[in-house]
Amino acid sequence: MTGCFHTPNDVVSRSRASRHAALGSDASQVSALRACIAQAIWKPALLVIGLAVLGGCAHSSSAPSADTHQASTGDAGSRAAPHASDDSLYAALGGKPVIDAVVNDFLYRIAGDERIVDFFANTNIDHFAEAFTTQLCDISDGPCDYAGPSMARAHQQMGITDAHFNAVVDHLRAALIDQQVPAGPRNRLLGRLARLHDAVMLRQP
Amino acid sequence: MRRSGLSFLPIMLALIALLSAPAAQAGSRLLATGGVTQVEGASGGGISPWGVLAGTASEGEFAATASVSQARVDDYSLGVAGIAGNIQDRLELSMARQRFDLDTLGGRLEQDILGAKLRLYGDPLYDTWGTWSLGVQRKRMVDGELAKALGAKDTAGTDLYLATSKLWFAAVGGRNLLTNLTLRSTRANQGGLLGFGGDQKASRSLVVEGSLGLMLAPDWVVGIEYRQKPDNLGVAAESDWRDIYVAHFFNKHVSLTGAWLDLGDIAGLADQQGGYLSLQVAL
Ligand code: HEM
Ligand code: HEM
Repeated sequence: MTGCFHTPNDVVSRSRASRHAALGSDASQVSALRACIAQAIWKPALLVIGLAVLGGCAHSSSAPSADTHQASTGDAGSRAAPHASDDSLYAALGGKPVIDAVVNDFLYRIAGDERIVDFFANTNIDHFAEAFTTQLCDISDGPCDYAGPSMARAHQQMGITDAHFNAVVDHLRAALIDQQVPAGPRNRLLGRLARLHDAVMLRQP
Repeated sequence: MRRSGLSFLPIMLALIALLSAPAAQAGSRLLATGGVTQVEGASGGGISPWGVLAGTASEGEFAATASVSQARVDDYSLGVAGIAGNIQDRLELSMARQRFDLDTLGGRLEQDILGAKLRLYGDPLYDTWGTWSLGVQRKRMVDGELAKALGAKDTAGTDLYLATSKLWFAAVGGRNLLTNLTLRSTRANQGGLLGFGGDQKASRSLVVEGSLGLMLAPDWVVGIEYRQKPDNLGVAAESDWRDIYVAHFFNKHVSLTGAWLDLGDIAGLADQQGGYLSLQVAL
């Protein structure tokens, strides 16, 4: 793994600057510090910290294991599945047109990132794009059923490190921002993908 | 009136100049995942260390940060300059110099802090249980006379802490929330600026620190922090610290943090509140 130490991948400053204009645009949302803070804010705040930590841990331990979820074998591809309900994450993301655009955007970013592009040197990109799109659709409760190899199998023995994984997530995040997916669905999707980390990393050398 | 902040100004300006110069290296961890530099030089929020390590280094990568911070409350000001290195997202080493000016009482106290933080386990994004780190801070006062006069037992001491951080995706209104909890064993009075141990209590105390950070936009975070403190000195009652902060990440290399501090009573002067500004550059 050569590339990772040397190559910066700052989503803000990297190539295709125009694509990244969106990153800074929320700046004005945050107004200046409010100087006066009522004393009363603090005690409840501490409580919230405690609850967030405790409640949060208990809650997340029920996260489904990505690997078992995708244990089925067979070819990648979409199969008809029950319709996505209107309040699904899939709908909130913007459905098929947006996911297609995000994946397209994402592929350009991968192609331009010398840290990870080599992994895809022998990959059929059309197949990958379709499988990845189906995966995003499935994981966001859309009308697709990802039936490709499990994440552990799809990535086994590739030599992927956390640095690579982070880079991929960062590209996807940037693509979502660029395609104007709002923060809520964007972060929910990233949260679901983050749970695939252990499966992707399961069989690395 | 002499203000200690002024001497930090050139460093501040030099760091700001780096804003426009895209530096050559950045780790692959996501923007902002190293937090900023806390007041004792470790990566964290403003007053409490976090479970994450400095910079954005990941496996096989290295990172370094440098920071200057200035706090000004009613009767005191504190300047901190610090550097930290991160080896493969496993070990963080840090060094900080604190300069504490007693603007009302007169005088200056200084302290050097060497820190190390070892990531024991996990990742704030990918692990159910977040990330856990064990840290140590070796603190030594430059001149401990005032601290001794107030009743401090020692002018050097060591803090040990266990810190955990976890990121909750889309937790609040679709925004990501970072939670941090730190458990610290310490004898330090006012973080060590008033020495270690005292007439009231000479031994270690176990204190809790916590913070929340809400990621408002890809480069803005707002949050609150709380730091429990021991109360060792009979003549100088000590309060818990708390603050509310906003941090802005210009890019992977430069961040600026502002905070409103409530530090309570310090060395006999009550109700110390004021502002905090910290600039960090990461390579
Ligand atoms: C959340 C993270 C990830 C997801 C959801 C994901 C998803 C997928 C999917 C659905 C496929 C197609 C499997 C198939 O049909 O054969 C695939 C293949 C692939 N993935 Fe990932 N992946 C992730 C992370 C990564 C990372 C971090 C890397 C490396 C930097 C990577 C590199 C590859 C490569 C090279 C292939 C193609 C393998 C081939 O040529 O057949 N993936 N991924
Ligand atoms: C002072 C510290 C931090 C700041 C200023 C910051 C800032 C941000 C902001 C503004 C976002 C975008 C939220 C959105 O799109 O709605 C974000 C996203 C994210 N942050 Fe942080 N963050 C900080 C610390 C952390 C830490 C410590 C972690 C992990 C340990 C982390 C991980 C993430 C991840 C994974 C995302 C998701 C990507 C996204 O939403 O676009 N952040 N961060």
